[in-house]
Amino acid sequence: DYLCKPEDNIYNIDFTRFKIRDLETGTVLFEIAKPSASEQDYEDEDDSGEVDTSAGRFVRYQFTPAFLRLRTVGATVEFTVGDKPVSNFRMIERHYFRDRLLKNFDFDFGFCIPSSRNTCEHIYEFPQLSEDLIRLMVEHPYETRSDSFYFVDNKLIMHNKADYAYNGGQ
Amino acid sequence: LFCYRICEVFFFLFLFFFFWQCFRALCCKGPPPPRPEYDLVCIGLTGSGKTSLLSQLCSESPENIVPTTGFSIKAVPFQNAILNVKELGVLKGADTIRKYWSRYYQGSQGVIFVLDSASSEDDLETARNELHSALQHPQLCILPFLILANHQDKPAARSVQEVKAFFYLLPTDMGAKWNGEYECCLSECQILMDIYRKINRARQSYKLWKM
Repeated sequence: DYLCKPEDNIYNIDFTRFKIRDLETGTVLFEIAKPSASEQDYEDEDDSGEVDTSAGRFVRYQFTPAFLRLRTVGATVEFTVGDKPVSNFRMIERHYFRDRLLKNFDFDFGFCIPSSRNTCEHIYEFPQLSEDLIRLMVEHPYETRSDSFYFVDNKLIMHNKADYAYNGGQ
Repeated sequence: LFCYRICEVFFFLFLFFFFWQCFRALCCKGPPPPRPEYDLVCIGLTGSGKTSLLSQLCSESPENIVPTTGFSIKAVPFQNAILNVKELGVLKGADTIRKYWSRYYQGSQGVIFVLDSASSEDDLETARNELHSALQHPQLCILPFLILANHQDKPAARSVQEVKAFFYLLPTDMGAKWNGEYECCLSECQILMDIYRKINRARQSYKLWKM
């Protein structure tokens, strides 16, 4: 399921903000920021022994069908880095509908200085989707999924997942 | 619509030599490629206006801009290309981040250097030293440089000629191939588009000259 464990993130890379905007109109489509540390409860006080292995690694999105007709989207991600320098930080993200690969994104952030806060806006050029496929994706919410793999010096340190619905506003 | 004017921005375009063969190869063979992407690095002292400049070029409001403590990569889209500009944060007087600049240079295909024309003598001198280090850096010395003398609208701003002289950028000092300079007003992405066109034309003409 997840190809690495949360503990593999030895560089303490933390994603703190995410924003998507339509590059053709400049409209911000979605924005989310992580609450600051003081607002979060990091310690797991639950004695039941149950651990949600998805915590912090999974996001569920719901968009309207119009989202699938976008051509270029700017996705801004902000992340912080712990006190170790990070070399060759790279993200590979794959988007699927059911078992079919829709698009693969490969982006190299490069070097990150220790204790830094970095932002990156990457341009996603949407693949051309057929009308049939668009209809299926709208009619089958959350069957569109993505895996985001993060590497430092070619070693996998994080694996995040997301799923998507396109039937919002209906 | 938030309107942020950086006013007059004077350009100097320095060209040393380039290799753009892989881009040309991609262009001439096989099916039309997706928009080519070029990675640029944007450096300069804090307060020179890098973040604001890039925000405006990306049609984003430059509100809530705080000093960059790491990098900020902005993808500036054009019809035929995407420029990924990595802006490097630096703290005035702090060596801690500037010493990491060279780690950021890997993979860069061009450099944008932004300086505050209206800053103090000391700060200008610091900027000059940083620019010269960058110009001599093994990874950067072969790349095209775009030097932006920002904040020309401020009363204390030095003129183009003054900045050039202060930074030892006169052609006779550096022995550099001078592409030209021009004045223009910042309007959306037009500036970088012009730069991109100039760089492309210059690279092609350089290739001819080399042969």
